[in-house]
Amino acid sequence: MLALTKPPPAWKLIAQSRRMWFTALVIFPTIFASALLAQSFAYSLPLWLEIPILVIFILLFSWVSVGFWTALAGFILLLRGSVHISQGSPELSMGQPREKTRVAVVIPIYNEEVGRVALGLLATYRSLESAGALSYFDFFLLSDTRDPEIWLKEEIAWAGLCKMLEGFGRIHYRRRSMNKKAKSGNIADFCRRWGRGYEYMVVLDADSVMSGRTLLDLLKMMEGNPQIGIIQTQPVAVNRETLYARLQQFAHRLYGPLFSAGLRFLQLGDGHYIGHNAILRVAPFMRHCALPVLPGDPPLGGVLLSHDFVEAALMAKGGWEVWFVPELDGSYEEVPPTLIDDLKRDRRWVQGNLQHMRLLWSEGLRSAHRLLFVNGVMSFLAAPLWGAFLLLGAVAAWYWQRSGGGMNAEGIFELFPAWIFGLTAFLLFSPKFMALFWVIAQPHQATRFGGRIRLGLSVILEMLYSILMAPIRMFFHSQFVFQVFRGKSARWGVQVRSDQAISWAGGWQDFGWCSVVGLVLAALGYLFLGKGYFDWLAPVLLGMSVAVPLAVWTSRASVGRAARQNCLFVIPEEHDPPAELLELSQDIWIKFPCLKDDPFVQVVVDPQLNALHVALQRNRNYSAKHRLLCQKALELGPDHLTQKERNTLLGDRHSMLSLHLGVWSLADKVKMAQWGLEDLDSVARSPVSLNYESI
Amino acid sequence: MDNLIRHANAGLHHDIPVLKKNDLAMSRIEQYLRCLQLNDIERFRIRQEVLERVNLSGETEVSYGLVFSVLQTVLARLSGGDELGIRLQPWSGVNRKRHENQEKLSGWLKQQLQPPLARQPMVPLRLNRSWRDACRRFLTVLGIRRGTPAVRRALQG
Repeated sequence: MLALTKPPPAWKLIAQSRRMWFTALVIFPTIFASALLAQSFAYSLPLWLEIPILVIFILLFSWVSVGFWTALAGFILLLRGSVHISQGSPELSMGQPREKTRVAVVIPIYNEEVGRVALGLLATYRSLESAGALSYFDFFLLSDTRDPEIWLKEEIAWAGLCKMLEGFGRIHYRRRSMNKKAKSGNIADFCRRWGRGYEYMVVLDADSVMSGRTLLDLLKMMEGNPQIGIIQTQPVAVNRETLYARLQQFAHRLYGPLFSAGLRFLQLGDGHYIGHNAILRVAPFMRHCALPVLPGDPPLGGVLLSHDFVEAALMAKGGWEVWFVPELDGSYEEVPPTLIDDLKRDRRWVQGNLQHMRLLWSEGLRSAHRLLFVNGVMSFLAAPLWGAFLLLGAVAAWYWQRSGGGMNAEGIFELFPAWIFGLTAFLLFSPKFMALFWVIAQPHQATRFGGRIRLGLSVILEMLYSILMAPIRMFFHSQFVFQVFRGKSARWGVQVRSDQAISWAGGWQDFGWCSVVGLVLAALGYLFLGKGYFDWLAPVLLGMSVAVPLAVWTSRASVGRAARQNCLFVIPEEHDPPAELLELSQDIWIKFPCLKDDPFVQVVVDPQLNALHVALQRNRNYSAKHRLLCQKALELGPDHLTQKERNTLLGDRHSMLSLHLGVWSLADKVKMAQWGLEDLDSVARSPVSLNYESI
Repeated sequence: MDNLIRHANAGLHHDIPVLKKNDLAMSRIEQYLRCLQLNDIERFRIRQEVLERVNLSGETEVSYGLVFSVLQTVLARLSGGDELGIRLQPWSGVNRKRHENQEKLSGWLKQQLQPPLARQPMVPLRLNRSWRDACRRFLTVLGIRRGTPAVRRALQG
């Protein structure tokens, strides 16, 4: 019997041909440039110095070329307006959602700022309501929070949101008592419990917002393309006020579309998934995307920290398509407000991406996803490589000087030909000018970026800033890479989502060593390497030397706001804010019950808050441990309870009822004061009023 | 518990002097009731019922505990046997359906928190990460090595 095999979809052949051309465009110029450099080194450097410099040059040049060609492809596509017209594109066949289609919007959270999470959910919910698509969607706040205060705030936010939006039965809340496998484990836990009831799920981050129209479009794409497992949108970075974050937002918004369009051009149905602002088909996700635990201990073993790329790879391995849809707007996220917060996030990403090296040879993965793993690894490995290149370059310059080569500007260009600088600068900076040209070429688009002149000025300032910032990142990323290889693991940290400035003391503590190293290297370089090589290194050394003031000044919201007032680093979402983002700026949080001072005390004492918390807990066995903890709380007061003890009490319905009754029955004034009931005395002395106020 | 309290307070005159006598306990109850969303009639009824059952002169934890036990019983009676229900009034949604009103508010709220479970396993599939196997697969792709290893036929007999 002849086996009937299904022909591969047309996009696969197109993608193969594109990737072949792309590979050629990266490899051949790299070979050509390396050959020229080797020729230049042939008579000036010994082999032991020449070979490592050349190897690193090949890696870095090809890495920079990948970015350039991706941006160029995106630039051409954007100018032609043809990002989404490839065969098989999900945008081309959108189906009307069936009446019974259910979509779960899942928001995994971990010790987050509850107000911001609630506002994001509220904005998305209302936008769906306006789009007339709410009936398809349910919301799940999936908490891994360990801090009892934040946990209580989350519960109250859930109840407050449900009441405000009349969303009971549509907005759900679940807190895991054990947060196994971090965020990916939280999503998997949702799938195990409720995944069967939903055909699709949309994963949002704590700072994500999506418009109802976009969610509906994603749903239609999924309905019209049953072969697709994941559709990823390109979230736009918004809402931050510090200068650091505004620069990031501006760069993402202006240059991002080029790279996104280029990526889409190359990936087609072998796209990537970034873990949020995406829609996933639940059944294949559950079948194929349960994450393996790598053998060995962290950092390179254990639970996968960057789960998203792996999930996309596993989905594709299972025969499902993964599409990236960058042209779909209405998808937003927020960036870290300061350099140190960004670097903290990078520390986790470094570990997560380096773990992917162990998956590179896995059976059945598609080559596009193996390349994505390499891409992720190189994003961080490029830092120590660049550092090594500069150091070896310095050794080469010193060697060249000692062997009689001139160390003035002309002399250094004999060793390192001028075209290296020119070509590298062109590959790095030309995408920025392409993006500028693309925006100016579109009618009225430049106005949305603050006007042509301000836009041009913003691009120049952003370039200067990125030149100064690159060596700082290089230093930190190199440190992170070494830490991972030395076996030091990152902790699952809490992301800072609000604008918090770095103090000068904090700046010195975190970046002081970077500045000192920069200044020392500058002095040594000037003394021993001569002016020629020193001039070449000057931007790198300058960036490192000014790390402290750069980190401190860019962390200030006041500086960011001043830039905004002067129409610098403006993005279209600020010029013409969409309804969802306007919703975020409304101070609806004041309508929710306020948990002041110690939320644990309030939830024990306040009858309404206590009832809410108790109603949401499971009936557990009220053990001797719980009884002893209740006694301890009543005898010694809430301040003597550890966070773990508070969590134990809070997780038990009976304990919380007992504590509530116990606290209101206290007779000792000192103990009562510990629970905030000291004013009962004054109430007792005054005559009982029969005029009752309702709250 | 109710009978016990009634027995303990038997023979008391439940009038204004009783209120005076129990002022410490009652003031604490007043404080508690202020935290609830109750109307004047409900508050009055609760006070009356508590006073009917309790007569305390001392200020001890046991006596306060007794007062609050009585208060909880009265509150439970007010909301159809669900003491939590009356404390949860501010959290209940306006879209609560009529038949849902008949069940306990605390139970209803718990149901809204999470939908019924529909458990399904999600286990990682085996992932062969061996680089040796990867090399073999690569050689197979290049055509240097046969995809399936030769199997020696075993002849019976």
